[in-house]
Amino acid sequence: MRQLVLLLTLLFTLGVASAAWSEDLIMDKDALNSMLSEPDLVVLDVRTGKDWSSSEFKIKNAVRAPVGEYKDWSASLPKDKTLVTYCA
Amino acid sequence: MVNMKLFLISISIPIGVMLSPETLILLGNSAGYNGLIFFLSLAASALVCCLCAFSIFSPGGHPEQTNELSVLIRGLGRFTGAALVLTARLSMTLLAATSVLVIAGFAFNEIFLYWFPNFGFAFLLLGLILVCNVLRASWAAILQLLLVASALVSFSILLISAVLSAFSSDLAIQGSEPASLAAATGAVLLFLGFDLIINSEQKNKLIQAVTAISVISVLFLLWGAMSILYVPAASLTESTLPHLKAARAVMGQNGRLLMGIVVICGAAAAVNGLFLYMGQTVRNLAGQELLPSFRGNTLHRLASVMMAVTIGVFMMTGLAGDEMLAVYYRGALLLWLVLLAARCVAMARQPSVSRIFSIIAITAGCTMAIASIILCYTAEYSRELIAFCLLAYTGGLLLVMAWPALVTLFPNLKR
Repeated sequence: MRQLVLLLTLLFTLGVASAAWSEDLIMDKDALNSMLSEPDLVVLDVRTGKDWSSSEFKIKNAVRAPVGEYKDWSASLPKDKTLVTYCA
Repeated sequence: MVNMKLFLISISIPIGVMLSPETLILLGNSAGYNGLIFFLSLAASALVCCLCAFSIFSPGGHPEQTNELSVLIRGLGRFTGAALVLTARLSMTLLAATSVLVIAGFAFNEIFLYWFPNFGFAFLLLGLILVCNVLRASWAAILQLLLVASALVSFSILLISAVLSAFSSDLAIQGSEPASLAAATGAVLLFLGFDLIINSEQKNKLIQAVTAISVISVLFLLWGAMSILYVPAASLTESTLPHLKAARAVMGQNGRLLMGIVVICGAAAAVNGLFLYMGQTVRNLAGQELLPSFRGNTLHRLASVMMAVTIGVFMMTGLAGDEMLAVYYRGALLLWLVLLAARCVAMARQPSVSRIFSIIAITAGCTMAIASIILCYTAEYSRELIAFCLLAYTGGLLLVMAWPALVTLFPNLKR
């Protein structure tokens, strides 16, 4: 029983920590919209297949970066720019 | 009145399948690629499909002589013929449904209700179709009629508005892309579905197939013309949703709403139509003792549940997001072309047919076979396409052999 409580506590802590960490990394659409004209911004569209082709909403100048081919395109990304990925 | 209702229900299945969003995408891309050649290829494809319909529905023939499964079993052998029918029909139903339901989900989410999840809507549509097919086949038939009527009305409003605006302004074709053999040949895919005639007397089947081809030809010719008038050719060829682009160019936001209705109703009608036709296919297979027999509509119900579960699993496991879905879907279309070619040739080889009928059927069959070879050869992933077709056919062969093998091993099962 004690082990179960310990495990649950650990999982909860990890969940809260990861949520707090990811908060800084998530951007809403208004924030992105205000940044779209910035030259240091690279928008990556990670959708693939029908998820990409069936959607009317595609950000202009976004670079297609299929999530499954991450290893192929991640190395060529500029490290000095702001990278934003979107999937919906 | 009853005859008219039956006629409308019967023709709503092929028209529904031909109005699927995948066909609208192909139509828009083809119009952009070929410009004026597109109209020639569309007319030629419609003619070939009419000849094919004449061959497979042989108006003077006995129903048993023209039954899809019986014809192919006589022509290719019991298991090999039945496997071709099952593979072509089942692969198309499962893959087209996965593809078009996802497209409909996106259309609903992006055009009508932004807060409603796209996959949620795709599952809702699948659930509605499943419930109608399981509870009562007549409900599914009426649903088909309603969906096709809604899609046709919305499409017609868009078309009339586009034609009227085109006359009152000086629109001209904007740019042209180099003609492509693959896109010209691909026009034949726009009419796949004309052979899905069920619940109809033998003498009416040809009339219904030709009516469906004619209605779709007029709609697609007009929409293709309006698309290249309102949208630059390069933009049509590049777009993954050329029909929505053209609809927006014609009527703005109202055009998007109308095309959204066409996409959603077309997707649901295509899936429901394929489910209804699969009901007949499994009944035919049971009639040949290649599947277990059940009383009434049980086999159709079981097949509907199994297909819906498979489509649900495909959607849940992310097949829609996989680039290979387009390859598999193209493979299913090629299998359909091969099935039509085989049906035409098998009909031509029947001893009772006239020489002129035989020549027409062989011509139609060979044209379909050549179209499938060109489309396979010019495809981006031809090797994967061939592998998919061979693998699917092997799976179909195993499926049609499974029940006879079980009955041989356990004779009590037959009761």
